[in-house]
Order: sequence, then structure tokens, then C-alpha cells
Amino acid sequence: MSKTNKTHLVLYCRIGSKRILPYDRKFFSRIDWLVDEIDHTSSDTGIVACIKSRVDLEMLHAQLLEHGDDTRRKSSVVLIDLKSGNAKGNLNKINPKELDQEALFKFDPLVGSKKNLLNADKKVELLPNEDKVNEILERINEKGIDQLHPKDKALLDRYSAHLNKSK
Amino acid sequence: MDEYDKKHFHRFVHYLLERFDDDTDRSDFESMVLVLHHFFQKEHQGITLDLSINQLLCYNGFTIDIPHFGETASLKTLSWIQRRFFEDIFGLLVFSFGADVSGKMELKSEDITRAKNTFYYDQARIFKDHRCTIRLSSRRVKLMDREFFMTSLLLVLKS
Repeated sequence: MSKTNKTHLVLYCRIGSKRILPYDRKFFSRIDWLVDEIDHTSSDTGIVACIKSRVDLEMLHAQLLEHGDDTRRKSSVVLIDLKSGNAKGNLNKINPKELDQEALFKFDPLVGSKKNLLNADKKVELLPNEDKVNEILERINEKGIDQLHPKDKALLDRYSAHLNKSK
Repeated sequence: MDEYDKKHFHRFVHYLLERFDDDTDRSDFESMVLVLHHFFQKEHQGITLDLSINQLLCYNGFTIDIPHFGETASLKTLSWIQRRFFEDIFGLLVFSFGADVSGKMELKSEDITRAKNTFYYDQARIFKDHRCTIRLSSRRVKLMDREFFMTSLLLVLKS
């Protein structure tokens, strides 16, 4: 292992929860002997930590991959060397077949919660009632489209999307 | 594009062929992601295409944090770098989506935040269409007594 006197500043960007997770803590303790200082804060997509390291990005990346091998719950992390601009992630070893709902929830800070995500999926699956659609179409025929309630318009849009999908 | 990026580009194209039925949707999305990647690489050369592509394949979306950092650069210089980057990405997203969800098509001087004589964008803009949602955001970060800026981009494809 090559250690130099040079100090490297590496940014650790972990996607998902804005709180520090056991995954982060364990990684930080794993590299503790290689680094001088670690400082972290929440970011818009998870957490970021600045690592003042005595080893380079390649070495920290190797540690990150080994940490992933030793950990059951994996998180997506990108390491960026702040001086050189080099970046490396830990996603290479994730098999898309291993994807589960939890992983999707972890990734998606915009959605915010697994519950919401699952509900959002269910909403898409709801099929509009055909009788109701016919009733709206008749109303448009009689009174014109300008009189249409936004809820009814949304229902027609959903039905149209459903028809397009089933083509 | 080097050999490494080419390999991931082929995986990306294969994914798009499976994901999008509509040719226009597919080619527009492909161009947008590649131009976004070009901007990321302009800021940090080491941000290779696989960072976005692997996430896209695993999660149907990707997120990237771009730090605007310079060891010897002043905060004023960094804020200028952040503004230029934010405006470039915003412009590309307006070109791709027409406008953000609030109908905004261009950033104005009143959108710029001023703190300690440093001008930067400290805001989130959301773009949405029938294919995906993109959140572009930026913030000022202080770590180890060093201040710098970060621009984050989150893309989530519709399920």
C-alpha cells in the first residue's frame, strides 16, 4: 500500500437519507487510520462529507468497494477528488436484478418515502371507469369542452394514456 | 469519447431501446443525458459516463452532486463558477422541457442570492414531462472551515 505525505481532499457524496447512516459511520471508521479529518453535512440528495485523506482517491475507492462487499445494505456513493476533479462511484457491482423497492426508495430523495412511492405506483394502475368516460364525452358533446371540470379532464387524460399504453 | 465511455454508451443505448417506444422521446432523452454529462465533465473530468448510466440501469434515475471548489480560489470566484454552471444546466433543461414547472424559461438577476458580497443561485428548479422529472438545485456548503458551492441534479424516470 502506497502512502504519501501529500494530503488529498475527497468529497464523499452518498445518495438517499439526509441523516448519517450506519453505512456511512462504518465506512468512516474503516478509513479512520488513513485520514486526518472527516466533516459531513446534509446535501440536496443525501449527505456530503469532506475527507482529508493521506491516501489518494483510488485507495479510498478500493476501501469503499471492500466496504460494500462486507455490508448487507449497500448505499450509492460517489467519491470526488476536489483537487483533480476525478470521481469514482460504487455502483459497478450492483446487479439490476437485485433491485428491490427499498433500493428504489433509498435512491429517490425527491419522492421522500417508500410509502409515497408505492402509493404513486398504485395510482398509475387505477383504470378509469368506461361508463364514467362515456358520460363525460356526452357532456362535452352537449355543453362543449370549456365547461369541463378539471377532474373530468384529468380522468380523460388518464383514460387516453391507458388506451395508448394498451395499443 | 474514450473506449471506457463507449462501452457504457452502448449499455445506455440498449437501455433506452428497451425503455422508450417512441423514437423522438428516446433520441431527445439520449441527447439530453449526453449533454448533461458533457457539462458535468467540464466541471470534473473524472465524472465518467458510467456514474450516471449505472444508476440509470439500477434505479431508473440518477443523481449527481457537482462541487464547485478550488483550494486557492476565493468564494467570489467560486460563486461565479457556480452561477455559470447553474445557468448552463438550466438553459439545457429549458431547451429540453420548454420551461420549468412554474413556467420559468430564464433566470433573472433577482434569482441570484447575495451573501457577503457573493452572488450565487441558492434554489431548486423542477422540470417535468411525460418521461421524467429533474430537480436542479444548488447550495452553499461549509465543511472543515472551507466554503464552497454544490450543484445537485436528480433525474427520476416515470414508472
